Amino acid sequence: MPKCSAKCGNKAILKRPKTGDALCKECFFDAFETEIHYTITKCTLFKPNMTVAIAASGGKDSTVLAYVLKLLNKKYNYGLKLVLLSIDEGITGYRDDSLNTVKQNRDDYEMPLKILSYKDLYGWTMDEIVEKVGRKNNCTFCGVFRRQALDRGAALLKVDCIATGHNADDIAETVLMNVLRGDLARLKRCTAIITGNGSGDGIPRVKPLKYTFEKEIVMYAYFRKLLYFSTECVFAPNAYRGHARMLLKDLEKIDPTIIMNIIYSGESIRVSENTSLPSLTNCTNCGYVSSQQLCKACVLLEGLNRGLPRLGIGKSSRVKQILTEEKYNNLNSNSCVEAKNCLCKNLKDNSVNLK
Amino acid sequence: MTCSHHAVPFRMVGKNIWFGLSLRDKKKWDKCNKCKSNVPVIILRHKDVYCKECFLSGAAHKFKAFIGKNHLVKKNDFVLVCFRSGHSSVSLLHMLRSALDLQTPKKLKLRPIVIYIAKATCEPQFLKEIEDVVCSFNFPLYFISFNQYISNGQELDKVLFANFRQMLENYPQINSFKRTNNPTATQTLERIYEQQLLTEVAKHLNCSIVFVPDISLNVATNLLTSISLGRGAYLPLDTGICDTRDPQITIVRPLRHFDDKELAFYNVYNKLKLVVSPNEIKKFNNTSVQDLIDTFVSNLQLNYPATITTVVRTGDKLALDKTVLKSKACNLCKAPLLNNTSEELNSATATDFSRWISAQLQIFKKDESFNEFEIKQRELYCYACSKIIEFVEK
Ligand SMILES: [Zn+2]
Ligand SMILES: [Zn+2]
Ligand SMILES: [Zn+2]
Ligand SMILES: [Zn+2]
Ligand SMILES: [Zn+2]
Repeated sequence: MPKCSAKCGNKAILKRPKTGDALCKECFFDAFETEIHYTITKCTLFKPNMTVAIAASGGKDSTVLAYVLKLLNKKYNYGLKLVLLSIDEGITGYRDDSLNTVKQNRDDYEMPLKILSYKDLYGWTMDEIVEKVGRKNNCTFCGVFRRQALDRGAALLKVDCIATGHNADDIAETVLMNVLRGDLARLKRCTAIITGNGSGDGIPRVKPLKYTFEKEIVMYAYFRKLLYFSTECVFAPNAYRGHARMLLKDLEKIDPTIIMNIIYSGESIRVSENTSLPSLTNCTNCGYVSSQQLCKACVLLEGLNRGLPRLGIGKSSRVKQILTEEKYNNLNSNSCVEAKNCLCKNLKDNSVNLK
Repeated sequence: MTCSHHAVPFRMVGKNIWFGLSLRDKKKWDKCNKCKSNVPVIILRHKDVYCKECFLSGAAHKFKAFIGKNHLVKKNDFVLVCFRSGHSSVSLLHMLRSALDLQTPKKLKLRPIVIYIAKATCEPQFLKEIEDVVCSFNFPLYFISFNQYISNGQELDKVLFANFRQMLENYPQINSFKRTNNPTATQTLERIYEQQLLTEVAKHLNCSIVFVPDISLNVATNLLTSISLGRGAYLPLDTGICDTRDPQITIVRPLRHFDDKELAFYNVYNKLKLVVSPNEIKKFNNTSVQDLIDTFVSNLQLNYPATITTVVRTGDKLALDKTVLKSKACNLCKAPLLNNTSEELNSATATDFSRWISAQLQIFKKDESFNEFEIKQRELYCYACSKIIEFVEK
């Protein structure tokens, strides 16, 4: 290995995939942390006295995020109150290991941890939902509930902001995915570093690791000896995300800086003015962003609470129509892959006792 | 890999059209979608079936509607038509000829001039085939060698030939387009120079419009390639309906909503001869972004053809940022430069910062401020071109 690029005199121990620079361990830590600090200050992700919920899954991204935010908050006097927020889907046998990791994070980083269950958020555990709707239909619930859980949890905790561990690779992958599925509305939004504070009363979400490479996150966690839970996410990607991920991995082999190119493309793409995008409003019931008056989670909950969880629930024909559309969209969006690989099915295969 | 002539499922012509379909599907599809009476012979997009007459008139209509709707040509404009190996160019010439020969008010009024850009080695036999097919449509034809253009492009008169034999007599033995040790940069530069060639030849021949035979597969490939190279802002130029980056010449992609299968059938039913270069079959080792995405998109075409349509339609709905319309052009690709405002952080600046901090950590540590880091304005080359400019020969 050559000498460290930062001219500290030490021998380098790694080569940065983003720039090709060779750095020693200490300089890598400094560069890695300073870049995140630069992103946070340049984009004004936080304001003093904010309470920030770090979405904690126990994985490498959220573990590194929690560690670095704690460090920067102290070093540069951000004046933030940091809390860890975890969601427990309430499926017997799942999450135990990752939640243990999060609990370890809590102790190591001395941050309060709040674990919210689906029972807390929706009044139902996944097990109870499975019991009501059967294994065939519950994937709709898994997906919709999972998407909203963080926002509902953050609202429940009354925090000012949610910080998620999305890294540069995730964002580049999402750009490609939205191109492949032709989702212009999401393509426009997916590279934004702050989302959710635009119009309504949604809690802003920020991505401090937006420009941080996954490979560097792994290196950082390794050299800092951070403890994280390192199994693949059990929530299998949909077909589009699968294709995008495969393509990105191959592109990265040719040149890792392509990740930054794709993010740059996403940031500078403009949708033509005469293209109408679906307008988003807030759910009249819970306030979550939605393209309908009632968000999908509320529609599904209404069905569950009335004891008619399947099609044909309720008197409202609109609810019925939304459910039909949901089912139709599922058929059309290749989400059969998602449904096939969904958490609940995996558990069945692993013969975990659901009930 | 899918070079255009391979992907055609010829076994599906005629009665084998129902290959692989269930009995129920056959019943659903026993009448043409359009006229509701004739027996269908082709199935498009995995769902629509047409009889021969309806299919051909539909294809001709789609072509004319595209030209008309986008107000692309003025009356009697000279149009430079770029000829390439494969189905698409022959279809394009036939569609043009049919539209020009109409005896109705819908008659197309423009004057095509065909050009073939010879790259690498050129078989005289193949050039002869091009000459024959273009002559059969009664269009003027020019040949130009890419290498000659690169080495002697200032004097177009000396490198543009009305006859391929003349071109071959002057054909240089050496390859003057130097390949770099970076396959992605090489292919990117090749594309930029080819576009420049078309623009200059168009001006030389008094054309205001260039037609390139890009089909949906090409558009989707170029779109994903441009995104991967950091050219997202320029998708409307690189892959859109028309490329207006040159103030005088507009490059148009009139076949962007056609796929290979459609054009293969179009040619078969019109009894058109396929003109394919013997050097066409590429070896894909996926060492360049272009080759990798070519493979990826070909696989999509095979397994998820609807995704190609989606990607092309997505491209249709993008536009150039209005604020760049008056900016200076990139010295290499000629697209308008984006201004890098210092207020907003973007991926380019974040990368510049990573490079800065990796080298200047000691400076930063002195006062822990970012004052010494200067946000780079790219004033000569766009983001993507500044990454390959080191490979351009001075
Ligand atoms: Zn060092
Ligand atoms: Zn499920
Ligand atoms: Zn709601
Ligand atoms: Zn018909
Ligand atoms: Zn450029």
